[in-house]
Amino acid sequence: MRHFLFAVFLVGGLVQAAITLPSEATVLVSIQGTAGLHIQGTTHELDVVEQEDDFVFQVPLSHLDTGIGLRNRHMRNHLDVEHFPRAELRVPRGAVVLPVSGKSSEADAQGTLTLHGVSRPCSVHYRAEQGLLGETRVRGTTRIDMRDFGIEAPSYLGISVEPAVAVQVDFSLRGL
Amino acid sequence: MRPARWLLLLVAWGAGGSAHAYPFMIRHGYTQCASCHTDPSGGTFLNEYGRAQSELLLSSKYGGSNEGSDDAADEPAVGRFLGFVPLPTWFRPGGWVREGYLWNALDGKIVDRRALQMRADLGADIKIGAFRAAAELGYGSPEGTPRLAQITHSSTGPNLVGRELWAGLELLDGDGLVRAGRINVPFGLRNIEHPSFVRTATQTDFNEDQTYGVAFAISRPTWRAEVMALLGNLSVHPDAYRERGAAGYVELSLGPTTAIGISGLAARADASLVTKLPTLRQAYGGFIRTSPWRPLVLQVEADLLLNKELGSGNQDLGHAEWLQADLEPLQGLHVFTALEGMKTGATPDLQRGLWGGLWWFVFPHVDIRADVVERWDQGPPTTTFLVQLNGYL
Repeated sequence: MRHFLFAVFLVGGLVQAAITLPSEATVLVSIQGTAGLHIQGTTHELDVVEQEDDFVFQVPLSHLDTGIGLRNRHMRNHLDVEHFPRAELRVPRGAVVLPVSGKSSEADAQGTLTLHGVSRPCSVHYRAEQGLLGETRVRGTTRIDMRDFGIEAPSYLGISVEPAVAVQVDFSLRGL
Repeated sequence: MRPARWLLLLVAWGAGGSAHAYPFMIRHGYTQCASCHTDPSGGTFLNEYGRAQSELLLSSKYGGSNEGSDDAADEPAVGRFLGFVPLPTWFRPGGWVREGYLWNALDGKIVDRRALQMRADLGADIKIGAFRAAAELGYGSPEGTPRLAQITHSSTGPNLVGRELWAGLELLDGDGLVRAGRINVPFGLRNIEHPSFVRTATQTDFNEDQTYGVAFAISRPTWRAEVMALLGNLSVHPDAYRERGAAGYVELSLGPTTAIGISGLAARADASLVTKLPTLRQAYGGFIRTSPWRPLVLQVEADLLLNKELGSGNQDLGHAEWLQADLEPLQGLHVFTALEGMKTGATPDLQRGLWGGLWWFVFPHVDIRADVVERWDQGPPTTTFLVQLNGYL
């Protein structure tokens, strides 16, 4: 019973904080390596909540899929997902220009990215398009250097990847 | 089919040594070859990373799920020769054995059947700092010697065979390689089906069509290219038969599982191996690899062929095409089919071919393949059945 009540309160709290669950979410991580190696990791897990006048975007990292199971495992170990299970981007709501119905807006926004337990300022380029039915389609892109977050650039069997990582996030949201 | 053409077909299959370059690895997001292969355009030698991918992605898995979801996959036993002998990272030895059995039928009647010794090679590649080198030495049986790769020249006994022999330097932080020696000619799809029309018509298979020259290759995440100055195949005698010229390709990645490229080749010989006359041979074409759905890979190549007899003004215009579908319903098990066409000056009628078969990568470093190839010319159709067992270290 106690667990049930806890679950009810927890869900209630999340509903209050969330704008709504994003739909059609895709987080794409692109990494380049030696000899033309190009690795893409994808996850469709993305949480968007509004906290203290910030938009908070959270990506669970445990299901980021690069297409090869062993590589996923190596990546999780490298990111120490057990201790740092999420990447979080926090952007002040005031830094984002939201479009009106039927229009779009495009700009850079300054936020804070937390990854691997390290928080760093992060510039995100975004484009938001407001549909006529109240749904906002958003694409955000950024580039980070994994060394800034205390993550060494991985190397495996003679193949190394560059520390620069390109991130692209697409999602649709109602209630913005 | 005229007797001469029938003989050519038999010789082409009979000299069927082969190596391994698998353009279908694009289904795993590998648009580049250099990540896994010592040859930046793909080919025989695998680096450590390539050996690991071979173990993880190429071979059948037993008692577990496929690689895509198998996060608990064991670490591959790479870097250990024969799976247990530790090796220094700068020295990568290899060995290849491919044996087969072939049946040829003409108009539905078996007219030829025989065992094929296709490949028995040893080789190694070396990487010390920026220095790179690779060499292979093999045995060619009296019937199975790939004549354009032979080192010794016995017409009755076995021969020594050398397909690759080169040394070079890495540039651009490992993305570039300049090298000299006997090198695969950079052109088109590096498909393993070396008797396919696109490979025979352009003379760019990697069973025996390597030639001596100087090449520069570059591999970037969204494109790759290689150009080569062709200085002549020293396995061919006399010198008048050796072609000199240039070849190259550039391929763009349109996404992680789609790439499109163009190729060109122009080579001149004082005497063509076919006509014995001074000839300028040219080929230009395009090729595509794409995997719209992970189990399926489509490969297309279309080439324009120009052969000009120098001094006479005679010029043949031809073409060759290849469309292949590779379906991998279970990891390691491939079902494939291909359509092909070719028209050249030597074969003025349109030749058509239909390929089909199964390919099973049974264990790491062991695969079994069965092909059926039906070809049509102006005469009755020819059918080739080929089964082969391939093993490599």
